[in-house]
Amino acid sequence: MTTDEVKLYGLDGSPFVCRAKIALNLKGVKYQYFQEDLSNKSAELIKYNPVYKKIPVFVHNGSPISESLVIVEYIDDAWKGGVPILPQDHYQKAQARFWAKFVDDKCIPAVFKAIGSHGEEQAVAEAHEQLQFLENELKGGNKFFGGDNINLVDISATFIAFWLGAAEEALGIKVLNKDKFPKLTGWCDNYINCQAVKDSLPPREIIVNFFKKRFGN
Amino acid sequence: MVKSSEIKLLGTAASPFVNRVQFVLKLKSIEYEYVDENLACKSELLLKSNPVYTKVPVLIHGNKPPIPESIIIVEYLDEIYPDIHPMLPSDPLDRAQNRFWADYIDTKYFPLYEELRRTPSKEGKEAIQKQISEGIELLEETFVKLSNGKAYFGGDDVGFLDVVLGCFLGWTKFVEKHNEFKILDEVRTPKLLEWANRIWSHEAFKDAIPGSETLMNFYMMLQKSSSSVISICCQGEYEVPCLHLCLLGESYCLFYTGNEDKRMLQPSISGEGNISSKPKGRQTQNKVGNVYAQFMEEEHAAAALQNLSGRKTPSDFKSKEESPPTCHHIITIAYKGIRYSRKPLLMELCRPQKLLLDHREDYMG
Repeated sequence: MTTDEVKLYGLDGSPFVCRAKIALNLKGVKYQYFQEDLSNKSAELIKYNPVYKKIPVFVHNGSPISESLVIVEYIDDAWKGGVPILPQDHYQKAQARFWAKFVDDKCIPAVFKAIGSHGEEQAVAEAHEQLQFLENELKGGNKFFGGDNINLVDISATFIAFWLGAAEEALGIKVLNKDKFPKLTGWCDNYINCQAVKDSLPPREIIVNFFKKRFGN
Repeated sequence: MVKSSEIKLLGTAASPFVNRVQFVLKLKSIEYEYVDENLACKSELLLKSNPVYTKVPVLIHGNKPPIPESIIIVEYLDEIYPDIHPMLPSDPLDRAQNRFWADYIDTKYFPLYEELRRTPSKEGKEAIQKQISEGIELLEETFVKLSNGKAYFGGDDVGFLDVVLGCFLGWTKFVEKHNEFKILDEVRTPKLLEWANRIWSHEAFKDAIPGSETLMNFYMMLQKSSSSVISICCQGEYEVPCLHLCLLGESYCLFYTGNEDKRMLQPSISGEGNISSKPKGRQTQNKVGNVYAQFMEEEHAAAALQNLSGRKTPSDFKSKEESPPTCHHIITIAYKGIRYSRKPLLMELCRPQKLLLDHREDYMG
């Protein structure tokens, strides 16, 4: 195979960019990383993602792809060898896509709202409702949503594993209670200790400071 | 050809997301059983099949647990029947492009139609119409790029994006007529206009796109439930003479009988402000099923629930041995944009039984 040109445009603090990094690290793909300044977007970013002008943007041999979950699926598609990110079984693949979408559509927004409201009771209750679905999805002693290895669902929930904890620390609130969500709490620890994930996560202080600045008093 | 007993599709005629799945099933010549859902009163099967969103479409394949979300269903069907009319292209990059645009259409473009409906002011509507025009022009560009001079997004024949966008054509026509503004036109979107005509006359789409009457009925139902009403739906059988709902102040009620017989009961208001309903048309043994009612105030909805369930206060339901009311098995309570957990009175009433509560923010998805 000729040398691939693989580029990722992103921001260290973004959990969505992190998803792409994790997928690339899982597959052992070398890539060039470009840090964006969202107040001064690069010409490349605008060229490669004219519809949304957002990060992450992934460019493979000159062809751009945006939307983090689309990028992750693409990485799995384009680099067939190595660890599979989506299950092989068609039915399980559909289930994985469903849960990844759920994390994006319902779970993360509810959790973010709980954070933004400084742990207001109602917002936390709503976040708990969504997190409960995830708690129930961690079946029978499975380390990850993907079983023994991480898959698309685990990757989609990176925000919950890492960003949430940092937010809780920054604002002195608790959203993911261990007693209410024992499996999910265990999953968070397992997940952030995966090599591919460890290599992709930003330093915790950056995220803590971000939340302090954004929502702190 | 797949046996019809193997695949079941839960849906409703007016939902373009359901239509989307129906197109693909037709294109792939897959036989299936269609189960029509009344979204005002969702079946137990639907609620169990899609507890996260309680929406249609839901695909049930054999003994496997159900699959919701139309795009996920379409990809699943494409993967299990890859040789018959493949939907997604084989190249990973093209696939990524298709998925990106499907996401755009579903999350950015189509929701504008619903926003248009919900916006009352003229200026507001004009602003959204402008967004719709910009969106469709972007899709025109996309069509030109992806079709590469051919008839469809998918090339010579219908592909993934043709189905993803094509399912909205019924509603597009409806919105155009209803708002008197053109979405697809010869000047701004000439290629998409031609494409749309091809889709309308395509074998697989003809039967699945619902007619304007179906859409109008659905639209009127959405309009009625637009204000912050609380809707309750009680499934079961009720003795008509015993059926009383309290009508207070500005609340109003609609009643439906059964699932097949969606007829409105004629409410008549008694002196005390109670509604007692007499069935119309053919009713067997003076019983009606599935009562559906809407209220503006929580107290009125709660009063209706109490009457329907024979319950006075939550604490009346003390022991398991107590025979449950003959009336209802499942009550679905939905209201617009307000979390059920913020309605303490209803929550208290619902708690003794396993009740399922959902939003009626949008019916479709």
